[in-house]
Amino acid sequence: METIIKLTNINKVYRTEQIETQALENVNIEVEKGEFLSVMGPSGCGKSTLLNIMGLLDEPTSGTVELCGTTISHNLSDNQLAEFRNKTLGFVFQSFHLISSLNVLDNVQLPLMYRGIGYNERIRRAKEVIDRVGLSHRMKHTPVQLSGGQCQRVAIARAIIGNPEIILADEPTGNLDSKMGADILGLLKQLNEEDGRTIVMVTHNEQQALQTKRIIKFLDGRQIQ
Amino acid sequence: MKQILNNLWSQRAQNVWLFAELVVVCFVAWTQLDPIVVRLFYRNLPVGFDMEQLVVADVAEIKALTGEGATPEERYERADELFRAQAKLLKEHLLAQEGVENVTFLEDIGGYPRLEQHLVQQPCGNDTIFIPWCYFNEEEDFFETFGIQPIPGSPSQHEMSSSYHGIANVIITRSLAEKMFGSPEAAIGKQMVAGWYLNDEPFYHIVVGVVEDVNADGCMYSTWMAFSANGRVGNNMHNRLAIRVKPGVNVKRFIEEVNYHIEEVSTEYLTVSGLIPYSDVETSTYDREGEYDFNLSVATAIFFLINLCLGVIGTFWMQTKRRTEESGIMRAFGATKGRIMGMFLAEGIVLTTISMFITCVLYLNYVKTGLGQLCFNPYPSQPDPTWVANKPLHFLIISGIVYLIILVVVSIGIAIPAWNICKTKIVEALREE
Repeated sequence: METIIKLTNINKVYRTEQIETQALENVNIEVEKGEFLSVMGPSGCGKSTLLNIMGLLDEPTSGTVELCGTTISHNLSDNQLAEFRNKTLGFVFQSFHLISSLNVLDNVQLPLMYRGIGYNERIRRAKEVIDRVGLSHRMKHTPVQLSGGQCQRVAIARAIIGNPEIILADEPTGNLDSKMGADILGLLKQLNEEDGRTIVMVTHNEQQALQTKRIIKFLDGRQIQ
Repeated sequence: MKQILNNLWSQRAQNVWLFAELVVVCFVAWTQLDPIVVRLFYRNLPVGFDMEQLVVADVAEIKALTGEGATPEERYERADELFRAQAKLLKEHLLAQEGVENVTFLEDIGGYPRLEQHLVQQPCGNDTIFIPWCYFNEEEDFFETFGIQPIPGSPSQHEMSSSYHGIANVIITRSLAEKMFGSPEAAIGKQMVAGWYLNDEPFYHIVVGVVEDVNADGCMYSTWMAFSANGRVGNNMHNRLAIRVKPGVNVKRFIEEVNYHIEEVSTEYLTVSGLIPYSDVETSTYDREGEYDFNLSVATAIFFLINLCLGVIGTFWMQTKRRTEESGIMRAFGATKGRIMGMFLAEGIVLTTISMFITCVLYLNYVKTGLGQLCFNPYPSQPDPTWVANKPLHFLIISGIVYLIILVVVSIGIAIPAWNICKTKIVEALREE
């Protein structure tokens, strides 16, 4: 199997004037292509920090991040990192992070816009993925007109529209009731099984974690299982 | 563009206030800037001679110029003679200074020689016009010092300065000659009537020379002009000097040198003081009140504009700051900092453009209803060929200037916070909800 995410000796320390907090300590993780991995652990154990580092949203204090065979070095410029995120990664956040001023269609096509794809092609592909997440009838609605579950579906559509190798989901069901949560998890599983996308999901929910192919557990910034 | 319009539309509740603020600011800026721009434009019109190498100074008494005599008239005459002798000496001292090309006495408190406005007309003509009339001292190298050039066929600068004594001989500018006599060449030797009378008879002047156009005043377009010699330099409390320094001599340095060696320059009775470059002289001779108003309106405009601009910057600053999360989302999905900055700035540009358009419509109505007006030449005796008198062009130019200023202000209000939020780490930006 091909390793798609490789974290080696990752440390993350948050420093303020008074205190120093070790968020991650010597983390080594390898994720195979097509894997559905869940990261579990109590609040503050470093799960989200780990996901942010994997997603190039944050930098480790030390250690190496390798995504799709590319070592992410400090020398990469902001624009290069932006391009890498745009082409390789898709994010699903607990609080959806949809742009409230844009409707579903415009929110979903956002990653393609940054890739420089033409308007017609963007719209065609956005409609396709919106249809796939079952929101064709809500295309012109803005996030405030949608339920939490629907917002998360929009977020998933946005995460997959650019056809990224990796989807990083940070507690995607955290703000949803159990039924909606189950729906969303079902959708993620479908993306993993049918499209072969690699998914790393941070969750508190053991039941949901059990439905993924592998679970790693964190405690106090350390990988314990 | 669609995203920009979407963003603007979705935030319409806040944007209505922003619009209102921008329209008010644009409107006030329009009213404040119009007179300033017009005045500055007139000030910077070519004056018709090289003023860069000219210096103006006051003639000051070191010792009281008194003359002895039995009657006040005699005493006055003696004092006048003493002044003339001292003035001649002062001029010689100045001419002996390194870098001085010419010196002439002026009789006015302004930078220009004494100017009056006179009605003039051709003999038997009905076309009466107001022109500025400049008096210079006889035999004082007036035209040489100012560098006012005669047209071909006209007497030389020296002849014009020295050979035509008395106000009956008049030298006029090219454009006045064209206006009154059809062509500059045709003017020489012709008569013209000025607006005053001797024994109820019109006073005739003979045109003895024509010079290239000189813009007479700093507050308008005014190239119809006449010059005549009005006696010799006399003991006048407003005596001043114009000094032409040679090309290549630094005027500020020259002033410092003269001030440093003031004893070499001074005579027993007279000295020079308050030397300033001619370009620093408040050039409006007609409109001294206007000059005061101008300074006041510049101060008022600066005060208002700074306040209004700070208000606009503050509003946009807050508005942009609120969009930290949005920028974090965009960056997470691959937007570059430049793209985000560009989008925020483009939104500002669209808002400003629409606001400016609304302001233009409002201002046009404001002018149309007579409540306001565009700023024009304050003494419109001479047709003004510049953009100031061309209403549509005037409106466009001032609108353009206001637009650019507001655009810069809005851009500052957006660019700085936008850059700050772009520098925020994505994870931190995403936490801002």
